[in-house]
Amino acid sequence: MAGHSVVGKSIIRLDALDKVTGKAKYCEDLKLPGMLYGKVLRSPYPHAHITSIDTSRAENISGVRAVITGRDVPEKRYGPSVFDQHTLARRVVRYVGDPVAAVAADSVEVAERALGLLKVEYEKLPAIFDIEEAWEKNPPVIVHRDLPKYELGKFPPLRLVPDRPNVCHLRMLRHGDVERGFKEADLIVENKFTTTRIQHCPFEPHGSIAQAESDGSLTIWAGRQSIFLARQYLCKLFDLLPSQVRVIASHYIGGGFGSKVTLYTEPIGVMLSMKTGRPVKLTFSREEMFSSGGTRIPFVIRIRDGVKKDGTLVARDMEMLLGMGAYAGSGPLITRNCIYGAVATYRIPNAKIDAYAVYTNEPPVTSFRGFGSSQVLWAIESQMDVIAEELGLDAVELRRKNLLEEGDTNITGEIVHSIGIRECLDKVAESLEGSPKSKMEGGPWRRGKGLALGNKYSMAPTAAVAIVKVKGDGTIEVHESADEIGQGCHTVLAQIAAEEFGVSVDEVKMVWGDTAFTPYFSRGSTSQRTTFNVGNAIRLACQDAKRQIFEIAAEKVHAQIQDMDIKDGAIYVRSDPSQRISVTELFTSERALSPGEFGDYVEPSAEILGKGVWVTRPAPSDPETAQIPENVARMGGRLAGFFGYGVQGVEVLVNIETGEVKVEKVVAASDVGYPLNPKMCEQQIEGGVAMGIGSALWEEVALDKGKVVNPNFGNYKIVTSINMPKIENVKVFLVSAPHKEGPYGAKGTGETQMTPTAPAVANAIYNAVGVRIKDLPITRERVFRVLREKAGG
Amino acid sequence: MGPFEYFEPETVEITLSLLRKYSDTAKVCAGGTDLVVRMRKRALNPQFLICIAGIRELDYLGFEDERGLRIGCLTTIRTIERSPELKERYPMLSEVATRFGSIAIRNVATIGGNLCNALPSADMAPMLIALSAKAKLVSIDGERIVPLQDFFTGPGKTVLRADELLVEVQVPTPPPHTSGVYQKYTTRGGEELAVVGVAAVVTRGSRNESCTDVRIVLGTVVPAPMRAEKAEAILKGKIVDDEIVEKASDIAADESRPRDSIRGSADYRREMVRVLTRDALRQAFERTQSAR
Repeated sequence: MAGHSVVGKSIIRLDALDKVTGKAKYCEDLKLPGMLYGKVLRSPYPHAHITSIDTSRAENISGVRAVITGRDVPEKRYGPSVFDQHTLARRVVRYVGDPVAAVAADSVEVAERALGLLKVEYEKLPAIFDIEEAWEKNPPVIVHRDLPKYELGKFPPLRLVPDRPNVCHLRMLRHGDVERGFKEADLIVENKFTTTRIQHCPFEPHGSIAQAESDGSLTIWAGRQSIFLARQYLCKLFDLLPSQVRVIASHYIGGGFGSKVTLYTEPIGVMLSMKTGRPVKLTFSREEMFSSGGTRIPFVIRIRDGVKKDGTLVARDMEMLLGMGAYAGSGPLITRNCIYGAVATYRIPNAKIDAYAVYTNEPPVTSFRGFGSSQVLWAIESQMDVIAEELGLDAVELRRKNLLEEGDTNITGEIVHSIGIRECLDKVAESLEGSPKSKMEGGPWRRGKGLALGNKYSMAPTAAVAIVKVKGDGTIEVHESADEIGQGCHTVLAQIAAEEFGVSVDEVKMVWGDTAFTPYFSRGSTSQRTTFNVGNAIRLACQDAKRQIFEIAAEKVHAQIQDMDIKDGAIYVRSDPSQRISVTELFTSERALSPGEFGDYVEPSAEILGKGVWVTRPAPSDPETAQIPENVARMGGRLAGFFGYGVQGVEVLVNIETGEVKVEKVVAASDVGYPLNPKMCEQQIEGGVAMGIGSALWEEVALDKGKVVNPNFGNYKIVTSINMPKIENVKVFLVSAPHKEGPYGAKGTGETQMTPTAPAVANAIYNAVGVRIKDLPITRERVFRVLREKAGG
Repeated sequence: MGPFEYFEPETVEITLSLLRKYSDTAKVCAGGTDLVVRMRKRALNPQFLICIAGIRELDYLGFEDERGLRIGCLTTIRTIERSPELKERYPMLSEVATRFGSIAIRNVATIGGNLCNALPSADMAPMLIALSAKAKLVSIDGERIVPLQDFFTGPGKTVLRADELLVEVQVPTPPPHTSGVYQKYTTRGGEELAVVGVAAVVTRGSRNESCTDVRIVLGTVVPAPMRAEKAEAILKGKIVDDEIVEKASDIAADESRPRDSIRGSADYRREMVRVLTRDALRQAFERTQSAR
């Protein structure tokens, strides 16, 4: 965009040097004097009563400082939405990996040895694993018998379903008249799709250090997403005031992808610290990440679409079951939000969606890049290709025909704004057209191509506060509470502050998050909300700081405030730039300053402190239908902060003898509103594609009667560089449909990028060998079996 | 990891006396890439750990025209992969090494460790057996030479006694017009354990197209690396064409004994034995055309 000097440029990330030299500090690098190490004993059974726990042998080991069990923890349950979880199981365990006891010791080794000496007796209970069976009206096992008596959180408001006792939330959308729509349809297509559990696999496992202070307050150093959400949860669990809980971001965080929003290590660490009075570090092993660190939520999706012969969608009916595992965690919020994946892309006159959050005795799930949209789009974008095939239409044309446009009304009644998906589709379709036409490749290999559309909202409500402090040496210090989880938020936010002050990013200093000092950011760096919300708050704070600077400067150079501007550390009069004063000259000191020294304060306002708050509020919608009232929509009422869009096309090779699939080429286009740092947007896309390919072809947390059987990278297969197409075969396009409220038009972009990948791969496989895989992941063996079935073998 | 006492002997002699003393309460550690992982999982809890990595005299590749190739037990897989002389004389062995783990693992993992851990999925074993390799085992009492074909007795099990050390692998010089191919199948591609491994070594007659000798060795899909002898039998002495290769592959698949596992069902793995054996045989025959 014209006129910008820092934003819109691919400047080198601020953390690049720290990270490539190994100097970057993570939670695991922190050590406090007297610090103990915690370890957790976990349930070996998916559902059982704890009948006794003998801690005596463990307590007697030298170096063991505390052993705690369910008897020591608050009677109160906690959770983000349903308060269904004890810090340690008090009487019942509900999944293999449920925390039962914990030890704090002088070393990890001693703590682990102590775990081995804890004697727990269980009485096994029947367990339930199948999502559809658990969802039934008379399920053989009820995971939480007391669910109707549990305290429920306010976000989202929950709807229990009394005759489905394992359901803790039902989300409904009703738009138009879906039955009438099906009557008008020339063709009705119905399919069932499923997705599986996958783990985020961040480099750094969950970890925190907890210190129970002598005055009853808590200090937590945490490698997590959202320090304020942690504060909120801990206040609730331990009956403390916000000012009594201090959560400090442990500088860099080794990847989040949604996994680090939930409390995993903090409450147990707090209990161990309360008992010992010493700081306690609790870090998950990789095995614990797989068994108890949260996974993506598995979906069972029935989708029924009505279409006209020409491809016009007239009705869509979706029923989705979300398998939350044993504790709800983010499950109900994902259930509420996942329907947005079905809202954002297509014009559908009649729609009905029911999404159920279902308990089972499998490990709890959590937020995962895409927050439900990836799973919903797996079904929708596979289904669009099925429809095109049945109607004999081109899959791209079918999509083009039904795309929402700026100003259209979507199936929640929202009026669409900032939608760049058509341009994304054009770019990807055109780029794929150049591919070889022949499907025969050598020997058993067949070539195919396919594409899919993706979208991801950014959740509202969100509030972000920023404080910008201008220092005597001219440095712009930015205080905000976004989490640097590897996405590079500090770089982009520094670019915004630099742009506002007309300086380079070298003059900007970003401050690490600390709830005692940095200002509020409601749910932290989740839901691709940082750039949009914190970015806007920083702009406002910068404007506030500049106003203060102009006030002081105007007086000194005898000019009008409204005539002043600032660049490269100097305030000047626009009409006469020779009338100027440097920012450093606004500062003074009580002592005599030598040349090269800077002032320490300003008089009379003491400091130049700009403040800004940005709040994104959702429009009210009907809880029975998810519809936004028409008058509210007309006034600009919105479902979410914004929608990011992406389209991806892939070319695959499929081996008809073994089922092996190779992704040979990827074309990805994404509407990012406005790329504040184009290179980093491209990297988000490439990362999303990689994660998407992994989720499409290999990734699955495999369970046997509720127990994870592949809790390691030997048997849980993430994508590796060898599996990615060659870099020259990954083509990325950035598309800009500016958002009227985005900073410089920008929208967030981290989550969108994974949403279209898996269905694009499935569509390409169909194109290559004519088999439709409806369940993730598309393993070699699965492809082999379906090919064999098709051949009648 | 449980507690253990740690030794770093400087000579083979000291190692052997430690082994005699501690017997099956001790474990020998070379590269440690399998052992340490199993110790951390507590699948192995030795009371004594004897790390021989410092005995550099056990790290060598030697070539003798008569006796063939000698590989010291501490030779890393990376050394085997990169030796120009090995690539020239035993290209099939260097090729196996390229399929082994990742470069980081190959830099540390040793030939002796790979064989003594005796995982059914160990990559080096099938090709070495196909090349009629032997292992030299020593103890305080002396040495013995065991054909690798008889070395493995089951998953994680070998004929190696608790007081013995495998010090050398001996590989005879292959006859003229001999080629070998290792086919490895995994679930993802990249740094992985084999789901199916098949080594085929073929010798062609000097003047005709018939197969004078053939070895087919299966890995992973059997409790211990095993020759598919019935499949070998129908190929021996025959003119090789697609039909007979298909037939031999069918027989090899029948000879395999895969189990259902997280890496693949037994049925699927048996099917993959068929495909991999076929490809290994075809490629090996093709290569005999240019082999010296």
